[in-house]
Amino acid sequence: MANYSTNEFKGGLKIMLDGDPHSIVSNEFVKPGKGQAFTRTKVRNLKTGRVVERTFKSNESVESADVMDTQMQYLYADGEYWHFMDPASFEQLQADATAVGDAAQWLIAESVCEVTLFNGQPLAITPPNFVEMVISETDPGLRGDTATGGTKPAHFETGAVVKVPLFIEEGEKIRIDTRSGEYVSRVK
Amino acid sequence: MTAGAAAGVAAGAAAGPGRDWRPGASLATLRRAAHLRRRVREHFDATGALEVVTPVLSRAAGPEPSIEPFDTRSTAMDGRYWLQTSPEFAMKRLVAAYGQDVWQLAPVFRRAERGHRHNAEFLLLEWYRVGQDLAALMQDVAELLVRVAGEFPPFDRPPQTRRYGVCVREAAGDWPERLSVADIRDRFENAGRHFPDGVADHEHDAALDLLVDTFVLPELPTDRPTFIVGYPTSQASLARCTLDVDGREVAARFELYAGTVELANGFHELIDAGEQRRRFTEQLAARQADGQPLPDQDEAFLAALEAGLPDCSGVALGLDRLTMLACGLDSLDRVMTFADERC
Repeated sequence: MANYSTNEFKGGLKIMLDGDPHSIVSNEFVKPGKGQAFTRTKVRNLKTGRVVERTFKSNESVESADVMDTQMQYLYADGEYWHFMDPASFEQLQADATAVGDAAQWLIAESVCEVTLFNGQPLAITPPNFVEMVISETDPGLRGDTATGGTKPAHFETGAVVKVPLFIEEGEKIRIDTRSGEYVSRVK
Repeated sequence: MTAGAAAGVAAGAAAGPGRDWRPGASLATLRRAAHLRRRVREHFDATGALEVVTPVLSRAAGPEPSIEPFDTRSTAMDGRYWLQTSPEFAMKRLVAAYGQDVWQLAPVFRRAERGHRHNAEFLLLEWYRVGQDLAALMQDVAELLVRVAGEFPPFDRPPQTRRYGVCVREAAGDWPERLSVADIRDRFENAGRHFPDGVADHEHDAALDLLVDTFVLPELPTDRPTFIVGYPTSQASLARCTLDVDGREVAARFELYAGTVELANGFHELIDAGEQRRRFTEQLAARQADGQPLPDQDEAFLAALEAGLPDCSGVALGLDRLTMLACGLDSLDRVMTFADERC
């Protein structure tokens, strides 16, 4: 695998650190006029999501990470794996629970997700920013109660639980922002 | 300008697939930069220093570790030319020849530096005072700051002075000469900060540099400048060595900071030709061992020292950074007409 020198560092660059793939979030050149140069970076561990500080002496070399993001269509889950298909090549791959993580609750058939591959294997799944799903279970709202700001939990087949306004009924389809997990609007 | 022409100008600013041709600095910034340069000239006219212009190109370069010069070739003459990383050697030759205070606004070039506060090419205000020691030179710097930028924070308050050794002791628990690289690594780990794997146990100065950047500089005040004095003798560069108030051997060197921004580097100059040659030889050997480029030695500079450099102190100040602070900006790209990416 190729190596990067610190002078090639920039945001988004994928590198291997401690055996895990990382993405550079930011980097800063540090050098007193008469002294040693360093590069101070913030890096995100693509397996754990944690952002940490890493400092390198200038021209220290790091291994590049074979990480790429690709758009794939979600097909179905079989209890152990979640299956995705490349809409261009029709090639399929399967992602385990670790890779899918919290995205599982937002996956509905045929939605197009971003799949992060590490060495060709699914590392992480990012669902679309918004998803529209039908409420499978929620308490009945009080008739005419459109004025109060109160919310109640709504449950979905995927396992997601979203706070919705009291006037929303079971069986209704709503739009959810997957990044915050919040109700956005009803879908007519 | 008609509405149509104005619209054309506005559209031209945003449109087009080509290079961004515009300057990084606003017109107001360029005006302030010109104003500061005018005040610099006034300071030296008032204090009796002669403005000089020395060549940017030289047949030689200093072997200083961590400063990489650009090299190039002429088609008219054999051998390499080097772009100056500072006008130091040429200016000291002038002091050796005429014994006069000299000053210069010099473009300097460093091959391996790029960041918000670094640019491959930048402007150094460098000057030498004959017969002055470090304390007198620091006073001169303080007066220059007032005259040049005294109405702009943080230059509207006089500089404070801190000792390097004391700053390091406060940050890491012991004097710098008593801290090992492992001690410094521990200090980082205890603070939850990362210390590079690439710093070897003998790279004591590199570890100190990072320690200072990480733990000392962020504690410096941002509303007034700070002189840091008493650098380790291993970081003396072209300064002579001396004793501090506690009898510790230190370099006769100061740095000027404003918050975490390094502004100037000053020395009570080394005038001993033998000692200077010895340091150059050591630095060249270190470069050779690290597989780094070996610049051609400046024998003309050494000959000037052998002929006799008068007792003097000198300082190099980053005028772009001073301008940056005086304009309340935080990157050289917004202070220079065309920083690296715009060239």
